[in-house]
Amino acid sequence: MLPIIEAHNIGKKFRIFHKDMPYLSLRDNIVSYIKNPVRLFQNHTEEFWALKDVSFEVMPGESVGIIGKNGAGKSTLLKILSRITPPTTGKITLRGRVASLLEVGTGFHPELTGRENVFFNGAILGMKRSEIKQKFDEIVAFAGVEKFIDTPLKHYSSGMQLRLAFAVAAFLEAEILVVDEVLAVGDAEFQKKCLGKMEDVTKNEGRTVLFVSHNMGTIMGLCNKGIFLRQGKISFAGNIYETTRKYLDSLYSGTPAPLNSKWIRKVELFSNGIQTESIISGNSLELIVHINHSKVLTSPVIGIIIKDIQNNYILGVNNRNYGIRLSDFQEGKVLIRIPTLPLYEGTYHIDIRLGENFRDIEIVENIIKFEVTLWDTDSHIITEKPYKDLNKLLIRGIDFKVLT
Amino acid sequence: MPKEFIIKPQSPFSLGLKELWQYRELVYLFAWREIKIKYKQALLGFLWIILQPLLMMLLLSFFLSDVVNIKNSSLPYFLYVFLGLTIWNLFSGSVNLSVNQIISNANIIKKIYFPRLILPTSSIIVAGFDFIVSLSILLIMIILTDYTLFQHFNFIYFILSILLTILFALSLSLLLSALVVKYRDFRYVLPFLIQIFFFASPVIYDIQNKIPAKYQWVTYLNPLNLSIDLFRQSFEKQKNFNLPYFIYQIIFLLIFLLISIYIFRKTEEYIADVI
Repeated sequence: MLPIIEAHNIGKKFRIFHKDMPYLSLRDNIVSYIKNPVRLFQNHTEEFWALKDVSFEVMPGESVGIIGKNGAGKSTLLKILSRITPPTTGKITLRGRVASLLEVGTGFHPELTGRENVFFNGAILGMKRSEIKQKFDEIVAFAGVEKFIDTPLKHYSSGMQLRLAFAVAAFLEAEILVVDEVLAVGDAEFQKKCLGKMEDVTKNEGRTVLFVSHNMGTIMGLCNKGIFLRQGKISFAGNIYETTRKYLDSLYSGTPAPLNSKWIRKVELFSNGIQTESIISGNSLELIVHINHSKVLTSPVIGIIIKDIQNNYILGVNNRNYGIRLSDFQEGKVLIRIPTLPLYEGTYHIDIRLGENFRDIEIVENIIKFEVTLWDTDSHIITEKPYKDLNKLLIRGIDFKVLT
Repeated sequence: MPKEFIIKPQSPFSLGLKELWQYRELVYLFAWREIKIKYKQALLGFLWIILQPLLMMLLLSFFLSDVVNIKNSSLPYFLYVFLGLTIWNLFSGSVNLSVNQIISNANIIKKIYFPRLILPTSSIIVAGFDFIVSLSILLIMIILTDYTLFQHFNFIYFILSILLTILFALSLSLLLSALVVKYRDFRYVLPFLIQIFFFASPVIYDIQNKIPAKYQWVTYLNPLNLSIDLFRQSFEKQKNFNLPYFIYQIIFLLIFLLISIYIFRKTEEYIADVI
């Protein structure tokens, strides 16, 4: 059997303009040429390869998860596969129709009715008019907006808009589906519905799916193969479990960013005693903060604030809240242990506050970040519902300790 | 096994016209969507497309009919202006819309592939829709004022004029769309450029009277001179068809179109990365 996707030495080069501008400005160009006419003949851009020598094959019916850090080239690869931007080098052979879902509801317009939007959106996703007509009733039923189908979209709730948008996408009949993190939108219930549909598409209909997500739990639930991109190159490709393992390992093997702090020398993050940057929901979190102050701290206060990716405060604790007195020290390590961290999947940041008696000495924002996944080593998705906001709960058993 | 498709770096010499044909349904849908949106948002809705050219004509005839000398034409001034405006709106409407379409559909361009040539092409259809409305107003106006004008009507002049206008509008739209992708602030130059074209074309006055005989050749650089002239002539009693001029204009426009498509296609490669 021939592979349905065959990518051969794909490369994509971007030019970085030396000015911090999202796009060129005619005025700036003219002004700079007048000031310095020699520039006309100089190449004042820098080249940057977002992807280099990427080759892979996908067999029909496989679902492939593409993972990697931000800037690793995942989106660029999806854009090339969906023909939004051409590759600079190499070629891809596709043996089937491609539908790309880098976003749901592309081209939706608030002034148009639900019906009109379905037709336009379907067409732009590559459906023929006759095809849309034929599936129209099913799409509307799936979205559950029968009553409002001739109402302008601006009167829809955002949930209804999202359902309609996803419904159109769900009825695409392409052999290859290219999906970006579209599932990251909407409420939990809607996400579940989308995931269910995605699973249906990959497992029951046997279509080929390429899927990008930061969420390892979702990726492992949906995909059977993985491609791990690192700095524009394939770092690992193979079985999805191995690939995600490699990815998660790589997250904390890299060199840590320099700390932007006066007194805190180092922060280490552990879960269940193992140093990591990825915590399984419900497991423990341990932080070791290395402090080196100019003079002895008397009854030091150390607090941590856990924030989600949108900067919402999830949890804030310090030893004084918990009635724990830390012994005085000038240079030392403080261990903060939260026995169970039942958080939703996602990326979280930690702020650290350092104080003494009743005054703040230093607040360091975003000192370290970690990922929470809903997946444990036996690849079971945890069924127990995690909490969105731990501040509303009393977390028991938090421990603060000065290590020698 | 379905047909193979190969993604590779784009060939610099393919104009992508075949693909545009494959996507013709989407060309129509983009135009349809634009027309819907345009007239749903407007308070007066559909009435507005009828009122706009009429009011413009009334305004211009009121202020300019005594001032402007149109001795080369036997048409009454209001008709002279209306004919000029009809072709002018087809041209300026297409160009304006094309450039705006590229910017306002940036989010679609970044998320979905479709031949980008669809945007300027569909803009012509949208402007063509307004044009047809204008033509019906014209028809009613002639019936109400002087229906003898139909005796002299020449369909070939009429069609050739529209063809020239569309060819020019499309070429310029492609070129300017490419420019606006590269230099976003070009958008602010556009209204000024359109204004220059307005006064460099015989829309409200006879530009050939304004320019000394020695410099008449300048008018050959603006294809709107011929297209507006032919459009008016199709209703005039006395016609004179300058064949060499026409052939020159067609060749000029075809070369311009090819260059514009080429530039547009070069820009298309990186449009999703920069817009």
